[in-house]
Amino acid sequence: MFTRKFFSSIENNSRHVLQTVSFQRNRPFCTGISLQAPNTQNSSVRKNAGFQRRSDSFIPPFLVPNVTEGQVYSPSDLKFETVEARNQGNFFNPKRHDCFKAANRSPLEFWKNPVVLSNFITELGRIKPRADTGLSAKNQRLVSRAIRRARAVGVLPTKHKSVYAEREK
Amino acid sequence: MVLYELFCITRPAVNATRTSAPVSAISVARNCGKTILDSKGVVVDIESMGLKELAKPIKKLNSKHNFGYWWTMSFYSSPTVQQELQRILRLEPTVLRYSLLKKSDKLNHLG
Repeated sequence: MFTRKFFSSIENNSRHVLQTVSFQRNRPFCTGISLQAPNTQNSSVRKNAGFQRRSDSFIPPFLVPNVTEGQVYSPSDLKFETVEARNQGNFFNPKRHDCFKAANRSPLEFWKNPVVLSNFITELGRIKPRADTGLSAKNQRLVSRAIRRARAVGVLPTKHKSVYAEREK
Repeated sequence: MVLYELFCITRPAVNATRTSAPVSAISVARNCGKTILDSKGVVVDIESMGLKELAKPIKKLNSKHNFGYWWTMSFYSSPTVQQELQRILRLEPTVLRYSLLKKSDKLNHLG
């Protein structure tokens, strides 16, 4: 059994998580490799089948090298040290995933929607800062405007999250 | 002509359920719509969001409400109608909260 401690960060949060993972030597390095011949019917449909992550084969981040499909790589790209160096660089510049940009919508459309807006306020009803929401500057401003508008009309509570907000189980 | 959006929360009837017809909301919407149409406006869309629990108990005219009927109305009209609309909404006893928004000028809409 081989154990390794890794100092990783969750995206958009500056919390430190000490992750202790053990893997067995006889498990394959890359799971889910497609074994179909290249000229079969389904070979072109699921092009990334070999790199799709499934729920039962979780690959910890310190084992995932920065190599995309079709890219030429060298043996040093697969070392633990290169992967760890890249992950530690991400700690200082985390990738911002703006959910409104991904959906291609403006936050102001959701000012009547307490379910969506409750994701951007804390348990006490205060607007979350940009470090917690991970939005771009413009979208953060629009979200704040939507929250203030909703509070004024009585759609969103001031001191707590909406009754209709999504709850964590 | 400017595109406006009216969002209104009206008080429900005493025995109202989630599926019962909102009598007071219908009358308020009819009044507002009549005002808009009389001044040569166009009502685009009336959408009802149903009976919902309010963010906090709202007190109006010595009565407290925990539930309200949410509905929206989008319409094209001239800016002079807004005064009339606001007067109606303020005088109605069944309207708990309202908000008039300008969605776009005609030029933005076309572009």
